[in-house]
Amino acid sequence: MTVLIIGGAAQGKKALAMRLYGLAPDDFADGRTCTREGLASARAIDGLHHLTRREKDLSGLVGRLRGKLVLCDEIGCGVVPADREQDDWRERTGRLLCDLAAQADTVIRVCAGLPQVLKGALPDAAGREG
Amino acid sequence: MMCVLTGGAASGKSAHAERILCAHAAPHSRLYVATMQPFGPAAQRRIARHQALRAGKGFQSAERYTDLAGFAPDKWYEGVLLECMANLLANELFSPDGAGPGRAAAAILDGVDRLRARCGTLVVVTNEIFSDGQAYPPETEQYIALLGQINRALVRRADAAAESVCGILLPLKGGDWLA
Repeated sequence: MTVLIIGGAAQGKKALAMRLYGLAPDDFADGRTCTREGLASARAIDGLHHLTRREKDLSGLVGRLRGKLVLCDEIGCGVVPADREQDDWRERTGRLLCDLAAQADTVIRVCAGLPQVLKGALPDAAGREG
Repeated sequence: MMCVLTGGAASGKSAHAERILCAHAAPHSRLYVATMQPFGPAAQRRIARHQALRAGKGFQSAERYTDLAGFAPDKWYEGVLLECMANLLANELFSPDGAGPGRAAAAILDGVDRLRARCGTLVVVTNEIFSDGQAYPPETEQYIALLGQINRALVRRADAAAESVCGILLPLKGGDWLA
């Protein structure tokens, strides 16, 4: 099962993911630092937008994220950056998220800690209190 | 009919706009009105991407960078896709032949109203540029404020409006029409 959780910075994506899907902090690869092997062995990744900042060639990444829970900040809702690197980063992250969302069973957007389901359904009610 | 699609960068809004337009207009009766000026490699890459997306779908195309109200399609079209407001506003504000900050919003909305009356279905693509929390120089702040004002006025006029998020369409209004 592939799950994509997006939202602005500091909206509680990771806490929600841990609660809904019963994950522990150790289950997450860190998008800032993880290696390809570290990502392959992790159940989840936190900060996909950090990975897309340091990796310019994202070919095959959608496939490598299959079956995982993926957390990514929404970064595309600002003024088009004058800086080419920033602009390219937003574009490749946005395209990746479109592809990832198409593949995912569940897509959730988190705002102020609350989930909004964009695709699929939340897991059963057990973990949803709080 | 009029439909407004918004979304952040690379959020899949153009693909949805084309899909919706194609559902409401026959192949021989689709017009794409482009507002992005082909200046610089970034603009040229974006234009090439959009052209590839539209290829083979029977779109006529026209460019209109400013003065949308002065634009008359060469015939009546079942569907017109206008893309996008962020560029049209930037042109009106920052081009030498633009309307300038005092008149830009009114000029654009007048243009949209006229175009809408000259086709069966008008689909307008705009952009979400409002959530990066950055401080900008006054002219950019004014641009952001005007685009927000235009988006609100467009959605008021529209029969349907939606935000594209990761390629998923979230209806804001008139969801039945978008399905």
